[in-house]
This record gives sequence, C-alpha cells and structure tokens, in this order.
Amino acid sequence: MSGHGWWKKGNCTGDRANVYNCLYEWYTDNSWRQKACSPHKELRPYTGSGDRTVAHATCNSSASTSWRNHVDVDVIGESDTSEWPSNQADVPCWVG
Amino acid sequence: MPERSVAAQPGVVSGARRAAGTMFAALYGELVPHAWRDPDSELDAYSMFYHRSIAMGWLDDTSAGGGIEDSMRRAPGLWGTNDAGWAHPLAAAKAGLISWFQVGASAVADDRPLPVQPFLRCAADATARAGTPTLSAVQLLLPVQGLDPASRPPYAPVPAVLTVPWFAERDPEARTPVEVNINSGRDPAIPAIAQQLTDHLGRLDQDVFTCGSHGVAGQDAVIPPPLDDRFWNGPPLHGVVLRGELVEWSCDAVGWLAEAVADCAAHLGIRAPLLFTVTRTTVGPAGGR
Repeated sequence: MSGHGWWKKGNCTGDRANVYNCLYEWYTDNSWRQKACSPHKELRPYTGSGDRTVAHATCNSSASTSWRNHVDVDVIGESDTSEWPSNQADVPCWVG
Repeated sequence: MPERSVAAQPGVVSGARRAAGTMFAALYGELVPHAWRDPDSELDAYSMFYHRSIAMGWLDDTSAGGGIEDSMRRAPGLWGTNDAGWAHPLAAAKAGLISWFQVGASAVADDRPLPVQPFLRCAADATARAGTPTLSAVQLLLPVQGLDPASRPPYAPVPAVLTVPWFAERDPEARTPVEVNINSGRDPAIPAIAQQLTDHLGRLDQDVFTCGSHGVAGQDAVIPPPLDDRFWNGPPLHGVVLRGELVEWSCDAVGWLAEAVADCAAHLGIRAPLLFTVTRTTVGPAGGR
C-alpha cells in the first residue's frame, strides 16, 4: 500500500519545503507503529503537479487494518507550526 | 490470562468511521492525446481525479486530523482518494489500459448504492483531460462486503433502481451489446449463484441492462486486472459472464449496472469484493463517456 505527501502554500512566503510522509499500522495495544517512510524531498507547493512523496509498505495479507498516513512539511526559511497532520483509513492490507 | 500477556497484533481501531472498502476502476480502449496538451505535463491522473472529486463535492475529508484545523467541520463524502495513473506495472500487455483509479469508498447510506456512477464520472472526466477516449472495456473492483442488505429499506432493496429514469430519455439506437464478467476470484461463490443472480437482475424494474444469456467464465475470459491479487482474493478464477445489451455505451450505464449487480450479489449472500468487467462487443462511434 502507498501513502502520499504534499503541501499547499497557504499563507507561507516560502515556495519550497522539505516533505516526507510515513505510514503507521494500528496494533491492538492501541499503538500506531511506523511501517514505512518516504524519502525526504524538496517540493514546490502542490498545485496538481507530480510533486509528492510516496511511502510504500508491502502487505502480507488482505486482512482489514487501520492505517494512518502522516505528512511532515518543513517550509524552507520559515519557522513552522508543530502540527503533524494525518489521514486515517481502514485498508485491506496487513503488514504485521 | 491477563490482557498484557497477549502479543499485540495489527487490527482495526474500534469505533472508527465505517468504510465500504477499496473501489478500483480501470478504463481500457484508445486515447487520442489532446494536441494542445504538453505530453510532459506534471498534471497526472491522480491530480486530475483528486481535484475533480473535490469540485464535485464527493471527496471525503473526515479522516483528516493532527493539524491546526482539528476543530474544522470537514466534508463528508463518497470516497477518499488512494492512487491513480495512466499506466500500471501490473497491466496486461495489449489490454489497452488508458487509466486507473483507486479510492477508499466511504460507508454506504442505507438507501443509496455503492457510488460507482460518480466514481466513474470523475475517472472519465480525469481521463478526458488527457485526451479523447474510445472505451472498449471498463473494469471495476466492487467492495460488496461494504453493503448490508438487511439495512436496505423496503422502498430501496436495490437502490440503483431508483435512478433508472435517468436513462429513459435516450436514443433508442444507442443500445449496445456487451459482455459482463462478474468474478469472485479464487472463491467459486459467483458461479454457484449464477442463475439466481441473473434471475434477480431480471426481476428488477429496469431496462438499463437486458440479459440475453449467461454462462460460467474461466480465467481467460476476463482482462487480467492491474491489481495485486491480495486486494480481492484474486486471481480471477471463478466468474460468470452475462451477455446482453446496455441502454447506452457510457460510464454512467456501466456504473449503474455495477451498482445493481453489487446489491443483487449482496442479497444473495456475497460478502467479498467482486471484479466486474464490462466489454463492448461491437465497435461503435467514438466516445465512451
């Protein structure tokens, strides 16, 4: 399975950011365990181009499992806020 | 045994938002690229599909979290985007793959079908941004396991039937012969209910699809899907093929039929993803949207 990362400029003045994203699999002890991260890439703001990072984890079965994709964005030359946004989904992919 | 001594395993968060499952579409045929379009354009299939989904109000954004906008009221929708492309490493050679799209379908309302028509609308619109398509086949992975036939209200046991009038105003000459392959992968569930499925479809108050005959279909009867088998219990070993006519050769009509077949299959006890492939059996005028 794959998760993507990108950023939009919002009210930032910089037009380049270091971006990466990571995939986390949920475990029954209520933990989210990191299973894959993308390479760090310096990206322009996402305006519909192919400027995205991709994290990929290989599924070992198709059992339904909860996943989060976290994206970290560090806008070059600007102090960032500390949030780490994510999207969560149940996916037929079990890595373990 | 104390719970802490049990090794933790991956699983599903309890109380999480329900989802229907993975829905996938592959469009086959020919695509004549727009002369004005930069062939090196960075605007890819994912981008086209994602932005079209937002524009139509169909993108589900409720799973977002962890940002400064946590208190925002986020848009519910029909799906969250997963991925898309113009080519796929698992596509069969000479199959004529034009584009593919994968989403996570949101939970389906009790009186609404799987959102296959809007899904294919965005897929077709995204593809048409790259060129002019002439479709020969449409292939779908339908998350039938996300349907609960017991929750369907009496007025909508197969909700797609409620939208049949959309197809009433059309050119009678537009009817198109097709073959519909419905495949349950390694599980022989679909061949086992082939007669019941065609009977169920035949009893619906609709003329979007008229079935002439049906038969058991083997692996060679369907385009190998550009999907990892683990997505859906593949490869496509066990299926049935329905031969008949669609009211028109369009993604709307294909989507409608997929919605109806998914509900009929769920009523007959299917609780797993189905591979659904509609192939045009005559060559017609350019188009296919």
